[in-house]
Amino acid sequence: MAGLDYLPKTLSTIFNDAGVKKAVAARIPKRLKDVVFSTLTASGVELIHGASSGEINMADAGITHADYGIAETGTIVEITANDLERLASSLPRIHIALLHVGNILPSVEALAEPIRKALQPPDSRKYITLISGPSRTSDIELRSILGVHGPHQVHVIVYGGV
Amino acid sequence: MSLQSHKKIAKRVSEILRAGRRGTLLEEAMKRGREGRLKALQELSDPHAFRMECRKIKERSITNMETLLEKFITNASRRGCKIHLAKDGVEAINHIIRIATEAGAKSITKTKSLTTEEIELNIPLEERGFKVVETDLGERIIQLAGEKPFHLVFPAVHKSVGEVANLFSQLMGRDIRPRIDDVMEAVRESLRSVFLQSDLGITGANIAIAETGTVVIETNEGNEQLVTSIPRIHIVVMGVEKIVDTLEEAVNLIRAHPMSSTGQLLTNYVSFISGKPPSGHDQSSDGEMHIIILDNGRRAMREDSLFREALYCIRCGACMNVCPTYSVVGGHIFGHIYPGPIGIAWTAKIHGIDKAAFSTLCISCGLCREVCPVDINIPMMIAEVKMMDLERGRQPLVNRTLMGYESLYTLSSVIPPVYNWLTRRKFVKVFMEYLLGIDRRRPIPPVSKISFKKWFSRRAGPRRMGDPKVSLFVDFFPNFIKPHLAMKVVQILEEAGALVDLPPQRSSGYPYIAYGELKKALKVAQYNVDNLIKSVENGAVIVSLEPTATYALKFAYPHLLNVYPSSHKVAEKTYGVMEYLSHLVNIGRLKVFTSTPKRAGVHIPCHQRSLDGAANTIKLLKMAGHEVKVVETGTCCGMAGSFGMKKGPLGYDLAVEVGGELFQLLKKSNVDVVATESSVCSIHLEQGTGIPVLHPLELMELEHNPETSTLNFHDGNG
Repeated sequence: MAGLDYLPKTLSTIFNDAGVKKAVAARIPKRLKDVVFSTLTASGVELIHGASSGEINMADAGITHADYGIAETGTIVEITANDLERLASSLPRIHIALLHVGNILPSVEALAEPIRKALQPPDSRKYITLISGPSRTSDIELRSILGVHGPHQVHVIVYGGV
Repeated sequence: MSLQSHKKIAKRVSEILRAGRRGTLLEEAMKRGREGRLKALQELSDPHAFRMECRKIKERSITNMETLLEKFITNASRRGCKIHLAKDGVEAINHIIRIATEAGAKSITKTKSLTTEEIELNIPLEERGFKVVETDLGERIIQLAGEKPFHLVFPAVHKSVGEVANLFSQLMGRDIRPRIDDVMEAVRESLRSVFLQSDLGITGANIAIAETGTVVIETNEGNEQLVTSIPRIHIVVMGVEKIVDTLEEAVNLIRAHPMSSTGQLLTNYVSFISGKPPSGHDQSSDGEMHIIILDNGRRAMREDSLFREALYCIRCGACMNVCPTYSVVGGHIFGHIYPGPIGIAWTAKIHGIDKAAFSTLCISCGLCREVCPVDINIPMMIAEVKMMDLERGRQPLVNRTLMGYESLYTLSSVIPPVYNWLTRRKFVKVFMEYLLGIDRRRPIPPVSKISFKKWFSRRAGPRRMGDPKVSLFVDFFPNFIKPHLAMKVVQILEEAGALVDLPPQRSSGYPYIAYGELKKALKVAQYNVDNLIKSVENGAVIVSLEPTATYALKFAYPHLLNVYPSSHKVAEKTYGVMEYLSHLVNIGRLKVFTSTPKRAGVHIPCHQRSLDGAANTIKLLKMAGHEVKVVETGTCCGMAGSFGMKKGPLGYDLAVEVGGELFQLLKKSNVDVVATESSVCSIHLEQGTGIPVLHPLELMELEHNPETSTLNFHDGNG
């Protein structure tokens, strides 16, 4: 949890602990842009432009803004009309998602109506991705491993509390 | 079925049994699935309601298939999707080749899609020079090994870390240590460049939503986003039965699927994909999204009133996680492309009855239906497949013998002592094994001096009045082998004031269903229902002693005799004996006690799980004063009626292998006695553990409660 004051500290701790040198950012709202980008600079993390999947692949971390959270399942929801934005939370090893506390829904069922609205107008093209943790598999000997093709770590920073 | 295919399967099973398979990863995978599912179910506020809701969603989906298809096409097209209808696999493959060629694609990445396996997509693509790489780890492993999936959810569960390390070492041209971390790093590295270079991504779809023209894909590994968002082109291959109407329905299904499969609340990633946005940083290049909607026999299944339900399948794998024979042999034998119990129905209808000979591996325990999240009547579909298979050849002799057990025993009870003496002699047992196929290691249950039916008919002074009216259904075992149990039931009921009769009846005939002889099963069902309905119309309840017989009366007969209301009326008024006696105790008519309390381990027969799940046995044993423990593995003991009597791999050997874990659990549980209502399970458990196995009625006394005044006997009953 972080009020905006704590956001820089939380972010830089993650960057230091995970050894992040390069990061890509996607869909960060205007009100958070300054804080996020200045923290990147202050922590010595290079901000990559991410104009192609190859470029995004060079980043250690992807920083995105989640549209919703689901309390019941610990899920974040990302809505995007851009493949590259989607890859920012899929290609790098570290995924950092910023989530406003007011956007947390109680259950999976509560998502139906917001999804319906997000898919308007009927000719729009969108991805709505539910993410419930780091990528995982138990395909080999049933041993659970985190960090397969997707991120190894997912950090969700919930901000906006009183 | 063709005796040849029966022999072939028996041979493969025999090889597996000889190789020894205790504690395999397949068993572990299945156990996790079973336990995960149960745990997740317990967290729901109303599991039954949720199940019925999911079934209704799929019912609507199939009933309204054509309208939903049109609606989906309209709404997906609005979002720029190109829809291609394919009547079979060949058409689907041709569509895909055309799309890929026109787009100049060279390198294809795929997520896990059973539908693409159903049509065997990869080979034709590779033959035309496209590079095809499976990105789901389990699928990638079997792709490299050149094998088919072993399990629906864990396709490579049969491969050790060492074997996987070898596969990737060969692929990458360097040594990868057989340690899981090293293998994972190698996998990630090897696939990362493949992802980035791919120009076409092919996926399946778990769900399609007509309302919004959306395709839903559930994954855990993070490969789906890389397959759909890196290449410019995305092709979805989906069966026409996947379409539901609304987002609300889809949201229910994205819960039901992982819950039944592994116990997860949701898969790690759930993507709702509605069209493909323009790609590139400046959104300059046009993305393309194509959706291939496949028939391949689905509409024909929909027309079939029995197999239609198979289209409700949400591919969770719960049925194979509980299947006792699947646990021994795995998906390479118990499957063609679709494995497991539901795979029998799908294979017969989509790939042809000649590919579904593995239906013989089904021992008719019925557990698949118990765990199916949409309550598909898999057991009866399998019985029908067995019947279709029989039309291609002959029933193996041993099956014919065992189905005819009733006539055999009627003959035997003419001179019981001679019969019993003969069936204990070694030479007779060897003879029976060679000629009839009954394993010599199985003790033939000795027939009682007088059958229950004879005893009942000869009774002096049977009652003419009493309340309530109870008609007994005894089935084979209580009639010929353990009549003292049925006699005890009569005594208890009459002391409590009931009027007991024994209508004309044949044994339930369940083995006919188990071996696919549905016409014979129908005859028996008709005979029994025609007689039992008279009791019901006379105001009686039917009390049945043998769980499989109770199951037959309550579920199998109404299915076979669907159009006859009497079969449903009889089903409604049928109770298992422990359930009925428990009711009499509840309303104060009987009291229960024992003078010799024991530590009793309760075994729940498979067919009982659809009835009271042995809850009444447990309750009465506890009330009587015993220390009670349920001992179970969550699946069958392996006996499966007459199955465990048969010689060889598709019989005794397999039954013992399946029961192995349960035998160990029982031995370790320190119980004095095992209590179960099933007579055939008793034989198997006693032989496998050495612990005495008794019917719960042999562990308690039930007496008329003199403190009862004239209570209305029909409280809650009748």
